[in-house]
Amino acid sequence: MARRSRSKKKNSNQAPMLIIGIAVVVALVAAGFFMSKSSSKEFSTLQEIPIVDYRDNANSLSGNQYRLEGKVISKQRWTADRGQVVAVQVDQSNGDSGALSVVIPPELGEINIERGLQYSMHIEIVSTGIARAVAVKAK
Amino acid sequence: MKSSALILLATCLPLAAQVYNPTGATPQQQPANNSSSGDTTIVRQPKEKAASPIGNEIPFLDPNQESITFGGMTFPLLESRLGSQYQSYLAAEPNLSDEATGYRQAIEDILAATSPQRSAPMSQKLREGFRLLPLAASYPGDAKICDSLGNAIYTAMLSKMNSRQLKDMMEDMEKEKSRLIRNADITAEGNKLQQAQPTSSKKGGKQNNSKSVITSRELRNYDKRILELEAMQKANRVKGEAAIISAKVQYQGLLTQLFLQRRFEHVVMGCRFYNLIFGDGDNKLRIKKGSDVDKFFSEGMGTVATVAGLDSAANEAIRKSDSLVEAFNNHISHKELHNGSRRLMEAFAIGEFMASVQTVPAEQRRIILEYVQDSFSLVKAMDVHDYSQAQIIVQSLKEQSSDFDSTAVDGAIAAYTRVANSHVRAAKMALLQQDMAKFETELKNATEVWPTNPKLNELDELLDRGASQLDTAGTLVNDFDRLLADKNYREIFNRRYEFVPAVKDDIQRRDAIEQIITNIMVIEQGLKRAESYSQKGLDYEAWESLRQLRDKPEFSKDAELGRAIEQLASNTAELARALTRAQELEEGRFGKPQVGSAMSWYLEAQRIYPGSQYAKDGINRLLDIMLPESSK
Repeated sequence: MARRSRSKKKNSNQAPMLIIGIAVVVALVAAGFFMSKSSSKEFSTLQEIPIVDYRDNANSLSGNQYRLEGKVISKQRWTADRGQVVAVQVDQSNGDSGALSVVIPPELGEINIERGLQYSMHIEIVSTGIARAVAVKAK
Repeated sequence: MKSSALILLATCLPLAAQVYNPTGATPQQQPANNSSSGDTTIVRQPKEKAASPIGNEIPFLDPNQESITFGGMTFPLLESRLGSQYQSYLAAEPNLSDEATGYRQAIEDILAATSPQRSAPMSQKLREGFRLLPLAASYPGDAKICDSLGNAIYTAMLSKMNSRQLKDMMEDMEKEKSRLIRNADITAEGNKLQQAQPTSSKKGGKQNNSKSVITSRELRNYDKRILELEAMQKANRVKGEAAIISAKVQYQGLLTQLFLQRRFEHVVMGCRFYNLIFGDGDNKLRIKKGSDVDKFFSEGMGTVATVAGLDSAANEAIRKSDSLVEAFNNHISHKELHNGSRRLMEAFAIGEFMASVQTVPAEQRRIILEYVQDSFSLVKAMDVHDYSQAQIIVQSLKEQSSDFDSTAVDGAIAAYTRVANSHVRAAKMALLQQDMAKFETELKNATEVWPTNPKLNELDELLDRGASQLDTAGTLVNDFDRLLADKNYREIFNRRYEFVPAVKDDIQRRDAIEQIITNIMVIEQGLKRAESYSQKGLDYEAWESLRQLRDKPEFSKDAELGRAIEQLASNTAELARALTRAQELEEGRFGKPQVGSAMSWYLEAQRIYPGSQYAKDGINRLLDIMLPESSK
């Protein structure tokens, strides 16, 4: 009589593991999905910055806080102790688009802000219409 | 007839106006060679030759001598009497009328009637010739000379008649004297007989004494009468001779006068009449010693002046004038106006009243007249240093006459014009170098040598231009100042070639125009560069380069620059709008400065044109506000 293959024995032991792995992955994806959802939602209490209004008359928005979602198009200035300024391109769902510069204070320095990546920011419009980041989340 | 005689004769005559003679022969040097016939030349002893700076080619005018020396020959001015007569002769029509023909025929007839070769009694010749004189005198051209001749002949005849009467009287006297002598002889014989007879008575003796006394008184009366008759005879003889001589002198005087007046045909007639009237063989001319006619015979001919000699000289003059006219015709036929005019002039000077001279056709006279007038014009032109006109006349003379030698005058004109032009050149150089002293000297020299030099007009134009430039310079400076005040640098640049010379002596203006020219050149280069960008499709780059130029205050009003920017506006409107908006917000033109908004617009501009220097500069300025480089 032929010997039974070991693969059959092996296969019968790995099937449950596989199922478990798949489940974990799905769970992670789902978690990630939900996490992202929960982060946008985090700044979602803030109004999305009216980029057209900001571009035309940023001073009128002084003192307000807004949600900014966009892609960093350039790191305009960086300092070691006083923060940096990045340019963010905003393309909103209503079709408005534009770019603005955001001052990233030094306390948010541990966050890596890379050019070309999408970020969500909690910004505040300070004097003379300058946008200053309060919180930054990478997308 | 000796040639020298005619030469001397000619010097006794008023000198004819001579045409221009460029051959250079002098009268006293080569009188015989001047005439093609060789032995007749109308000359005047030149009083003085003037020195010529170059040679005998240059005419010298001596108003005091009323002559002009050219080529060593002396010519009288037109003011001389015969010169004007000669020109009048050339301008007049030939005497070809029926009257003139009839007159010449009458002269011929008189000469034929009185000809020594004619075999006829002298009285008949005299009568027939004398009869024709009034006919000839009726012609105006005769000037009543035949009448004068006729009167002289009549006077001479009268004197001869008186002389004949005297002779008759003398014969009668002689007869009477012979009778008285005879009677005296008879009486003397009777007296002798009575004295020889003896006497017887006293009374007879007394009667014999009274008879002899009476006879003695009678003899004395006879003697006295004879002496009276002899004295009367002597006186009448002297009177007769004196009358004849007086008649001859008067008649000869007329002949010599006619000879000096060149009325040679009348001289010949007069001589023939003379021989017919007097016929005694006494031909001696009783003229004043040392007079012109006396010299003519004594010095010229070396003989005593006689009527026959006068007749011969007149015939020779007639023949000579005829031959000169013939020579003139030959020259004219070969277009040799120069020699032809000289022959005609000589013929006129000798035989003005001869038929051959008077019948020269009008066409030929006109040709010679024009040639003579041009020749005199040439002399005058050379005299007043009008070499331009002289050249024209020389050319005309060459075309008119095949024997006109212009060598001397061409050389003179070339020499003087060259000297004059060199002075003009020197004057121009002095004017350009602004050496006014030398300019005036050279101008004066040039004017003295050739007053009508056309190149002197160039100097005048230079001077006029300089004067106008002075006026123009002031206007240009004013224009420059006005454009500079208006900051219309482009106009200054366009007129830079006018302004630069006008302001070159003003440091401030000169620096300004140099700067403007430099800047405009920069603009021009920028425009060219922008055009190059645009041609490559880089309109944003072209636009920004032009805007950068226009942002400079000195270029802000440049029309060309503005026009070029406008031309790019349609293709760069988006960028322009973004930058304009960004600047407005940055500067706070409509309120407070808006850093955030301005930065958005600069970012927008940078998005449109990533290479925008304006966007970059704006962003940097705003970053200095948002996050200064170093903490202050």
